[in-house]
Amino acid sequence: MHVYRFDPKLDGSPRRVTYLVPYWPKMRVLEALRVIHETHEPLAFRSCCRAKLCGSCAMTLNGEPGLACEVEASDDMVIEPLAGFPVLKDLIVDFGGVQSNLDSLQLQPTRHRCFNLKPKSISLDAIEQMKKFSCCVWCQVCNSACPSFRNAPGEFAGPSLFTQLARIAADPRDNASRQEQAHSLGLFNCVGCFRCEEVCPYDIPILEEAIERFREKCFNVKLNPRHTEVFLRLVRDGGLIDSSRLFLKTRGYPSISELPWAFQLLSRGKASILAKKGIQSANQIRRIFEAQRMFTN
Amino acid sequence: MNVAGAGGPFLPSKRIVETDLVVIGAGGAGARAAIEASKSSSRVALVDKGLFGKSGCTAISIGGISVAILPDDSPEIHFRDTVVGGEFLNNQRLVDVMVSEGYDCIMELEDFGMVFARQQDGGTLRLGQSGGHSFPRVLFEFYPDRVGMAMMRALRGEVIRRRIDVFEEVIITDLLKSEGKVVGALGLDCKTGEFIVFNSKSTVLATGGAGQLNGWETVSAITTNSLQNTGDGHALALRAGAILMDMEFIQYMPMGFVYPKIVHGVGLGEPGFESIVLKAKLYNAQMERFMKRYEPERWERTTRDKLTRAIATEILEGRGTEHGGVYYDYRENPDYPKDRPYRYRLMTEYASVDPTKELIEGAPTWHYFMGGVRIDQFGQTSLEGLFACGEVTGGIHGANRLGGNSLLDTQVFGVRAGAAAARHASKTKLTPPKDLQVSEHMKRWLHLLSVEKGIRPFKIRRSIQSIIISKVGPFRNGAGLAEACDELSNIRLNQMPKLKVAGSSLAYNHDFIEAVETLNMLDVAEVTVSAALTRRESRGAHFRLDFPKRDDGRWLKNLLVSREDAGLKMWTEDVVLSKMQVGGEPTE
Repeated sequence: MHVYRFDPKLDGSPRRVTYLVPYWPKMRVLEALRVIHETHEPLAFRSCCRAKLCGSCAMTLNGEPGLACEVEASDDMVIEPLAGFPVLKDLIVDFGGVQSNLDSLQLQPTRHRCFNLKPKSISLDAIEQMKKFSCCVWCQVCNSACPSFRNAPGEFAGPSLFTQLARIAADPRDNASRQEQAHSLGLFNCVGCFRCEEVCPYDIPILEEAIERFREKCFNVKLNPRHTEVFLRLVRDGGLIDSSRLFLKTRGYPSISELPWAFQLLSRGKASILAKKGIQSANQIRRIFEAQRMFTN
Repeated sequence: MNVAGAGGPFLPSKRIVETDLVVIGAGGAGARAAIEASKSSSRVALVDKGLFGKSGCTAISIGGISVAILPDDSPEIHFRDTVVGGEFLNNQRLVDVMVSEGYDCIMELEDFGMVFARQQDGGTLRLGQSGGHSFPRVLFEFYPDRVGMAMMRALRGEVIRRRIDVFEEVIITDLLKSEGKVVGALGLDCKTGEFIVFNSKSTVLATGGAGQLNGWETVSAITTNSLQNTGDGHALALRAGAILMDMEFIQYMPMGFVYPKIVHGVGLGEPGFESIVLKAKLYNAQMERFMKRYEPERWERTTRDKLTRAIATEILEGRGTEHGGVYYDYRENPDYPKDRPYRYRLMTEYASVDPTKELIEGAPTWHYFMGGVRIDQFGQTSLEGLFACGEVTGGIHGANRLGGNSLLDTQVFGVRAGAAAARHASKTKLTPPKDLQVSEHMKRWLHLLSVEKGIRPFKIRRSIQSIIISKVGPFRNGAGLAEACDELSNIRLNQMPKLKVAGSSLAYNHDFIEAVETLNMLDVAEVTVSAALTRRESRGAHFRLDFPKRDDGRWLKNLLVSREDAGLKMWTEDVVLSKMQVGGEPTE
């Protein structure tokens, strides 16, 4: 097994060390790490419950984020710290960023009085909705798989935040405006690739039930960003997505700063200055918009 | 909170944190104590050995919380069940507090954001039944077997809302004293490798149990507890001179996974609860429902101590299954995946067993430490300035704990200890610990880094664990316990001086954490073995093959322990029977 080692106090740069580990049936990565720690050399990694209850042992295993207590060990496996987070030592990463994002959301139901002795009535429908997100163990595996979070954590806070937010939003005792919070976390910068749902150890429908629902709510209260609006108008007018115009209209004048990039695209035929011609049946699409009373101006 | 650097000439820098309260352990009890203390505008430092919200036992609890709610039920009946289940060794004053303040403390959790499962109408709480309780009392979250995670999420939210200072990944190594009073604690910040001196007016221990004492599989001991539960608080209190009690009583969960190795010991659910709610049955390898021989009336629906002994007997007498357990049969319940979603996942994903079609094997696993630091009804220990709550305390559950009473105990005594510690802090001036004391502790720990040809902590820990699992299990006898005593003192004399920590720095040095834990585990193991040897009767979870009968005449007593220079001092004290005599009914 090849393990990423890095001690910021001793090593200038990370190294990859190969260890020979005895294998037994159903051996999990966490067990292999323990063997390395005891028989080869001390290794820093987090673990707590060993049965995917606490979500402490998330790391990158053969390039894929997962829980070390759940993923089975295999020959020639590459074990790295959870991608997308700063490494503190060996396989331990710093969750400070997502943690302070989470804490700033104040995920508690609104309180009217300071103490309520009788349980409030909560419909079973609401409970069913909360149940979908309740099993999240905050392991950050989804964030690690998310391309938007990995590339621009400042613009997209990560799927795990939306799971937590969706749970409280489904709580009928809560009056806070959770869709506004979702919006400020970069809701519309999710690219909708479903990677978060693919890797979630508990198969939580993060994109389908959390992110998409928040988008719907934001749209309904006109909290939609320019990108969505331009996108829809282009489709309405021409029946197709014209990516050059989508970019220019969304960004406006500041898009001038991307000129070198635009030249590259143009020279390789990836973009065009001319507006794309609409498709023939664009009328039908326009009628759909009219029927929905969307962008009729 | 004042934070100042103060480096000595030959020691690495240390940070000093001055505060009203330091709460050691941030599970259910610790977080609740911190919340309660902060209500009276005390400055609180909450210290967690792992990541806050993930470490300790509350977060991984899959059971529920017992509260008397039904119209025919009452705190009085809950009291009686608890004392009868604890075989009259409970401190009845503590039990009384727990059952009568339980409801309010638990409902406040809903205010913090938790949602307990409800019936169709949405307003009536759903209740489960657990072994030993006369009524259905167990509250759980709507995600039915993840109550602990929901509870920690709610408590964590409240701690953050109250802006309590949380110190994550800090391990407390020693309590600090001045003139007989506890004035804080010394800890190591695992993130930086720097020592932190917590100087406080009140100190609250809430470190949980010691499940990691029970043998070793591949990554953990055979226990339902998490990796952090190494008896740290018990040992800290003992070393500081506090009185501990009932340390011979260890509860085994009758059924835990036996394979695969990584989840060996993780709980499968209490048969008492599972048989009532999920129609579960227990079989031995010969497909006999053996519980009818042990408990002809209640079969699987009896208390955990009796179930554990019955299952252990079947296994020891050769009627065990392939992996050394007995069978759990859930096949009569096609809704199991919905009723127990988490455990269903574990069974299918780890053990490759579909419980709706196949039998699953299980065996007893270390679950709960009934013994611990002696407290009064305000969580005050025998040392001034030191309070305790949660599993680290003793006396509440007597000789055997009933299901759901532990999470209840963490909340009620979390509130009580937090409030009392805040009151104490408001009447006390901050006394700094002696510099010499702090630097001596630090030197002692740092020395471990410089030992050259020593023994790494996990090796010593394995020796302790194998002694405990082989000689202090559900069945004990005098000869075995005496041997265990000798072997433990051999470890203390011959192995501990060679203890060494690999690596050059203390930052994220797991060996150092294990070294501290190993010392703690040895301290606790010694007390447990001595107490088990001293109690020459069988009661609740403590079963002596050489004294198989309960002996109320001589042993209706709590066994108290403290450590002095000469060694362990042990004495008995009459049980607090303030409300109910043996065999009687509770009185007002």
